[in-house]
Amino acid sequence: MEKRITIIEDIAAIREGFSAVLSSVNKYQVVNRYATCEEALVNLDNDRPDIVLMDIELPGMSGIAGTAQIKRALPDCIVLIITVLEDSEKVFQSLCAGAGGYIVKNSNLESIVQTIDEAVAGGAPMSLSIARMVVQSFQLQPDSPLSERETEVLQSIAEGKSYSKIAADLYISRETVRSHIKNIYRKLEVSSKVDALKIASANNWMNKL
Amino acid sequence: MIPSYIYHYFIPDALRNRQLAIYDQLCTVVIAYVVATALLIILPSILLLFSPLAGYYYVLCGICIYTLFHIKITGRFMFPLVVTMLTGYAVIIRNCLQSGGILSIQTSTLYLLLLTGFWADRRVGKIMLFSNLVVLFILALNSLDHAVYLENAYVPQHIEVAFVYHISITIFFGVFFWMVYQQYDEAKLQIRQQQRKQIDSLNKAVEERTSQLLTMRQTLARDFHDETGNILSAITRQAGILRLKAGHDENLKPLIDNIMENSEHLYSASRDFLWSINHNSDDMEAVLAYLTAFGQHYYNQFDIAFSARIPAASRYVQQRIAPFLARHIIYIFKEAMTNAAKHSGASEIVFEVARFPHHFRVLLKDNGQWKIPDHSTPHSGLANMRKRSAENGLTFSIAYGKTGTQVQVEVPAGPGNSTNTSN
Repeated sequence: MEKRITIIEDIAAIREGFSAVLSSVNKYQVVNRYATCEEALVNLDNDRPDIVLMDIELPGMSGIAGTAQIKRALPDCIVLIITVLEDSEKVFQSLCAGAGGYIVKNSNLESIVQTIDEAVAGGAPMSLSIARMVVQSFQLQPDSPLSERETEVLQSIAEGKSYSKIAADLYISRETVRSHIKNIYRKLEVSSKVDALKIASANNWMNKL
Repeated sequence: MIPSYIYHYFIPDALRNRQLAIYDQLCTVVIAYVVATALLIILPSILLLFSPLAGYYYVLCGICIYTLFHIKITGRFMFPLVVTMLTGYAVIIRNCLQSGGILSIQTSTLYLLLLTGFWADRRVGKIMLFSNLVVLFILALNSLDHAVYLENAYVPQHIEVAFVYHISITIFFGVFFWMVYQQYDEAKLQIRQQQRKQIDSLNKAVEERTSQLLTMRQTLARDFHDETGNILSAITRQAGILRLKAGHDENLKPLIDNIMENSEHLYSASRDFLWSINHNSDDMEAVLAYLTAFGQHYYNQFDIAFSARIPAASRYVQQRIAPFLARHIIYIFKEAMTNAAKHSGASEIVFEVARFPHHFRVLLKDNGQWKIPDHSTPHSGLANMRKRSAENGLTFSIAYGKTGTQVQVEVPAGPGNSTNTSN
């Protein structure tokens, strides 16, 4: 079955570029493309995307807030951030908001397709600097939600090991490494939500809403 | 001690500037004269009760007042200073001859005069050293001639006259040097405060400049992210569309691929450049982390086991390198990492760093086969690595055998303290 994709990116050339190359791949169907999150959210029910490619810096609602909204409406949808630099703080924030990974805007077609496939199969790539940010964010919590294996995988990425090296060291397959990464992303989102709720209740925001 | 408006009153407006060399000396002279004048008004008045000779000191007092106004008008002091000293000698010689010659108590005022002369101007002081000797000689000679001096009217027959003279001289001595030294110290303090002020303002200027630079770096980084990066991505994406539209046109395909390749290359080069302006590129730790991240990202495309062995920073080992080196180290190892994947067929690659007190040894080891560069195609990678190393003080070496290849670069530690604790 073709995967339904929507693209949210305010620069037309990039938006159309992604759209054209993804349309050329049989397994994808680009159902719609938008310049703002607001438009995309209005049409979310009609589009029913499996995958959303999301820019971060957008006019109006940011890609970070947009990611959170889409994940709330469609929890199974995979949001992939498209970004100029993969190791920025904003990418990390998007991952906390529920994004399943990121694609560097300048990547070639092969690696775009590879990243989307990996994300769908379970486990989008994670860079060293993102891994370090994740490690830090989990370190702040008293009980880490990560399993022992997930912690080992995360630690290995933060040390700069490639997937093959991690797989060899832990006697697991590359696919298993990726599925651990997927779980890390998911737990990051969940724990970020818990954190946000904790902060909100501590500040008594919930009552004010 | 003495308010500045008092001595500033006697210094001409034009010279009332701390930056001028003459200012300090004028202050010293004026303050000395102000103190001397005050003492010459008070002390002889008491002495007069016991000895009418003390009245002559008022002449000296008058000359002092004249001198102050002379300085106020002309800004010069040498002429009235010489007049003051000559008058001083005249008064002292006259008073001594009237009160016992060389035996007179008033001979000790000669020392006073000598010291005030030295205080005002060292050249005058040096001359007075000799003139004092001459005066003492004159006094001694005159004392020999007049054996009947003891009968002289003003010889201090009374203990109290001698006592009061000694007290007055002591007070003059003490108060004069107390005042002028105090003033001297205050002046020094002022200078030091001024210096500190200047240092503070310099520091502030440097801080301001640093923060401006930081803002500039951040703006550059943001601009790259918002502008350059997006435009480059747009080019890549549009070239992608073009390639789809070109279909199987074999004439267009290589051209479009070339555009994409160049765009990718420019993107990667801009990233390296951006990284180097946005980080402290003299920090070896940051350079190593950047290369590790590159290696990890790059080798994840292939089934290659990549790991980095970088020992933790030690405070006893220098962490800094010359800032310009970072770019070259990054270039060389990116090239080496790419070559290892493309040509060696390695399944395992290790990026390893060893720290030494004055240098770093950076290694890239693979377990593949060394492929002798094909001379039919221009293979400039290795030559470039060697050239860059040679030009920038890096020691490059490459070793290959049946078990793999090893690229090694020795990086000298930069100048600075070797017990850097900032990491």
